[in-house]
Amino acid sequence: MGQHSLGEFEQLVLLAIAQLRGTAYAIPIVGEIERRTGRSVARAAVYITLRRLEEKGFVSTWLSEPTPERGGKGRRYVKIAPAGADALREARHAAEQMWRGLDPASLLPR
Amino acid sequence: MSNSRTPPRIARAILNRVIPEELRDSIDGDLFELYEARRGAAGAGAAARWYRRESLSFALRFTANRIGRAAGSLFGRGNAPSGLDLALGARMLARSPGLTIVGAFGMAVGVAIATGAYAIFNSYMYPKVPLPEGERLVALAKWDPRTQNDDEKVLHDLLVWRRELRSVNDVSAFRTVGRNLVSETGAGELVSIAEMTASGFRAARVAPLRGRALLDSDERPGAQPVVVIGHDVWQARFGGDSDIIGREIRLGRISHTIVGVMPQGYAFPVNHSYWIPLRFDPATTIEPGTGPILFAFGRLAPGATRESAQAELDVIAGRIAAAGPPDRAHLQSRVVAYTDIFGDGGGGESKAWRMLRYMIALLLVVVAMNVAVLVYARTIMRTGEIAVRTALGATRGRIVTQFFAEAFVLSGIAAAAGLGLASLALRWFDTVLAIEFDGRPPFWMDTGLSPGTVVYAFALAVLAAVIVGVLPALRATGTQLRSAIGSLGSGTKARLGRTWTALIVVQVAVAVAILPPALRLGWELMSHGLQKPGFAQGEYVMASFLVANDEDAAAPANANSDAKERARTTMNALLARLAAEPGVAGVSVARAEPWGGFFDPIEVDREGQPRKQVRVVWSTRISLMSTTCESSPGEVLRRRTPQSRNAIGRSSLIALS
Repeated sequence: MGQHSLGEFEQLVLLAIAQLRGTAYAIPIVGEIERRTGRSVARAAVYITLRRLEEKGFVSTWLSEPTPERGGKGRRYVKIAPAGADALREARHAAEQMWRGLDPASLLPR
Repeated sequence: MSNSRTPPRIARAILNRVIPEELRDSIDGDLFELYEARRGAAGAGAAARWYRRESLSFALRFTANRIGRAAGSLFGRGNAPSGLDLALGARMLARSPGLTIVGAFGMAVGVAIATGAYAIFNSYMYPKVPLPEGERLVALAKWDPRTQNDDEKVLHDLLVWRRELRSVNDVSAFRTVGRNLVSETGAGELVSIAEMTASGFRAARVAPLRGRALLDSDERPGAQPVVVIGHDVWQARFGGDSDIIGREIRLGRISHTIVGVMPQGYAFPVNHSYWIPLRFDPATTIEPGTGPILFAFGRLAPGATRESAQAELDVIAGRIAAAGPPDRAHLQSRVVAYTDIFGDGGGGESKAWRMLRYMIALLLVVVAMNVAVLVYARTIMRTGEIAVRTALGATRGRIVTQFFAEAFVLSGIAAAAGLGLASLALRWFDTVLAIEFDGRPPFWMDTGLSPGTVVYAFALAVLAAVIVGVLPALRATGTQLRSAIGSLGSGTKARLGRTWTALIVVQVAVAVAILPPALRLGWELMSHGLQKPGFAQGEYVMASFLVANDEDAAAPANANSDAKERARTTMNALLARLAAEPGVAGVSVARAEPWGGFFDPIEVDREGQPRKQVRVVWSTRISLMSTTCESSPGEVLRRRTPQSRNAIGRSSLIALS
């Protein structure tokens, strides 16, 4: 287990960044999570999570050039840092270990 | 309708206020991009509404996040207050004695009121019944939604409940009756007795210390009169006599055999030390809504809950209503917490009480805010010190922790003093409570300083320290700090700032606004207290006169006619005897107290003699339970003493004059 473990929403955000392959910033990240999970996502929660992931060293961000269609503001692009990739792999491994030998049907109450 | 190309200005300004600086541009840009897309698709109005909703969501989430991060940085690793912080805090307080005294006194009063109120509210609203599995004791009540009162003539229902209710075991009832406990010398002392079904002892689950509790057979008409006494009575009146069981005492006209002594502290069902059986004559037909005033209770059966008992009671109530008179069909049967036995039948605390509770807790917040203003004035004078510490590598969290520790020393002292004040106030409250309940409050009421109250005071001290120390420190280590670091050595003076200036202005305005109504209220209370009755009250004695009715609870109403006649005879005998006492100018009887003002209480000893010079004696009520009230009231108003009520045959009443 790494120094920081990942929460469920953090995993979703990291996986959305990975799925977007280099074009990730907050707006498409929200769309990606909503499209794949069917959940409604609070936009502010994504920004707060991205900030936390950056503080943990799991992602890195950079600002693009300002554009008029954004009111003269740039986009903050985000990509997964090596520590973030490791954390994602650890989270997946842990989940797979926990699922091993379990039949999803056995979760139903008898 | 707005058709602006730019998002709503106020919402955007709020966003800029709450979003951290490093994220501000990118979020503003993202929301602008989405706003533009919505404006093109759905129009400017819809886009503006969406933008406002998003802004609100951002404001709430980022504010919550900010609070969480501040708390994390304050109590995070390496930032916990140390002993050195506390020592430094104590030194800082010693350097500002004026601020320390004013701040500590203000907060101490706030803590005293808040903790005192907490203890009293807990005692009243969330009392614990100090009996085995006391939380499973319940009261059974008939609630009249039209009068918003309990219908207390529940004898008919009680008999049905005892027969049919399965969710509640040991369905019982009691009423409090007054009797003269007549001593061997013939002197009488009014005592309060629980006339209770034997099942009440089973419901309480407390075994007698000596002898036995009441039995079902004691309830039968014609059974030998028996009494169970409390530990305090056994010790005080019988000197702890080891042969107490089997002794006879006279309660009213009837001699009772003592069959048991209950353990120390036992006062079930309310505040009782004598228990006699509540008798029903099985031959008597009890109509709904007739019979004596009774309080019904029981113990939840194993596995039953208040809700399941209520459901069962509802079914039974439906049957009772269908078979009973139509004018009682609207009455509701309720299962409530046992301690609500004298409540409003609805159980639980009312919204008004809950609101009052929060308002009192808020009082400390207001006081702490006032102290915070004072402390902030000092904190900004230390901006240079904060800047130097920051330049030397101290984090914001570390500096805020230091200020928190300083404030905690102050609020801790205030909390300790506040607890002391609260303890004194609670002792006084206990005295008032004891008077209200004729000398002994209900056994579940404990208004002392419990460990929970001390923890509450500690929590208040932490809250006050956060307000007094952390808020000014966060302000002083925010944007002001950068300019302070820049102006180090320049001699530029720190300024109070708009927010705090406004706070001080509001504080003064509120104080000025509150002062006139507070003065008026104080004057009204004081003038009421100082009001004179208009007669020489020091020359009068007042006593309550009660006549015991020794009939069975379920006896027909006309059975009381004998008691009324006895009361009339006894009253006349008493009046004649009093009038014949030397020093008595006259005797009269009144239905109510002719003087409704305040009386100073006095203490009397066990013999009924005043402990000090008597001027006015305070009694809570006058009770004339019988007739002969036709005499002209007001001619003779007597000084009163609770201990000398119904003091037939005693000279103590006269000795007061």
